Amino acid sequence: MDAVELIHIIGITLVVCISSTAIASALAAPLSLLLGMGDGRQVKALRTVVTALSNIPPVVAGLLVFMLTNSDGPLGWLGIGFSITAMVVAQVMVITPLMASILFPAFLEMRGDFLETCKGIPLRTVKIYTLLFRECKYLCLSAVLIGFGRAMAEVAAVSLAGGDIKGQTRVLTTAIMTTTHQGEFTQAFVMAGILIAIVLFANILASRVKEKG
Amino acid sequence: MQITDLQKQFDGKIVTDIPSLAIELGASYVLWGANGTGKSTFLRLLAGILTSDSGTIEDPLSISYQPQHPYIFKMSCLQNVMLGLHEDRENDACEMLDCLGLAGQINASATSLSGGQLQRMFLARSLLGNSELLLLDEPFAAIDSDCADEIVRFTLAHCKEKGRTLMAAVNAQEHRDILGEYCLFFSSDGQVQLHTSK
Repeated sequence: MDAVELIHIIGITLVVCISSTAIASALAAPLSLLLGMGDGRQVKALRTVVTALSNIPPVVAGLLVFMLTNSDGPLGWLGIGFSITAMVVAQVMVITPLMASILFPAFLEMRGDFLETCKGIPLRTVKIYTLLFRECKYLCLSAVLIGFGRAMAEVAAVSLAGGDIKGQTRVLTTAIMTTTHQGEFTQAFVMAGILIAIVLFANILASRVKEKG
Repeated sequence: MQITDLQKQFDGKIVTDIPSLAIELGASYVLWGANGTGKSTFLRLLAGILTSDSGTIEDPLSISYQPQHPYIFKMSCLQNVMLGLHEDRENDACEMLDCLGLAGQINASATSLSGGQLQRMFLARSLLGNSELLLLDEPFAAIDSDCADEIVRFTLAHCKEKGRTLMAAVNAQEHRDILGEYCLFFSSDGQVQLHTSK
């Protein structure tokens, strides 16, 4: 493996992880609002489901995406099987519930006094929710960074959904697996070092942000 | 504003039961009664925080409500007061904070204020609103007794000047005497009696 290939792998890794974190953040925000501010039996049931899904084995998400998007699957006509898009979808499935399960308990805890105060002022609904995210900005940022860290470290979902195709869908984690199987331990260690550095950086940042909040 | 047959129960116990009550625009009302007699519940029903089990409210007034334990937003004292106000009212907000003895804390973080200072900040926000009916749940409880009477008088005078109806739950006799143009006595069975000093 030469430097160009390594840079390409790092590039694909970052594209997949940043895209999936961004999409998962956009989905987790309204989902957390619904779970944290909503009432009723359905919402309670949904809280349990999302909490359970926050621990979904990534291999299950990968398998689901593979089954749906391969050429014989129900969504095969989309032509996204073994592509970066499929990898992003699989990672979104893994990290959206994780991010939501970090945010909604905090919303639940603060909602009583917060909502009563906001409605009493009175503030409009959009303003109330904007304020809620502003009040929890450090927690939100921490959730995003934890989601990114999980996406970076994840191997099973991207391996199944992307197929680990050299030059196309090979990311750091799948490349480490492949090179290890080929006996190229030095290359595997170099990539593991890069992966650990990125994941550590995201996690340290998440801890700092959480402490600040 | 006319309230008719307003009732609220918790676990089968009647907490609030008001057969008929007319709220006069520009008047001041004190809610008086022991702990747990339903004063806060009544205010929350009027504010729409709670829904009543039965009853109607005709000709409703626009309402703002300050709960007993308002949420403290992690922003400056001035920014907390400005919530819900148009940007061009910043000078009014500064003047109000000054009147309530918080001139030195305008840019301080709200989370760094003492309990009494926080109550003044919440009061400033409530007084700057434009609603016709202002509901305050124990707004003077944490304010130092040596200046509380002055703040109570200021609150009443400000509402009178703006033609707003003031309705406040208080727990000090002297505050009741200052504010109590009308006094709503809450008893433990949820019944409410209206007394007037007029």
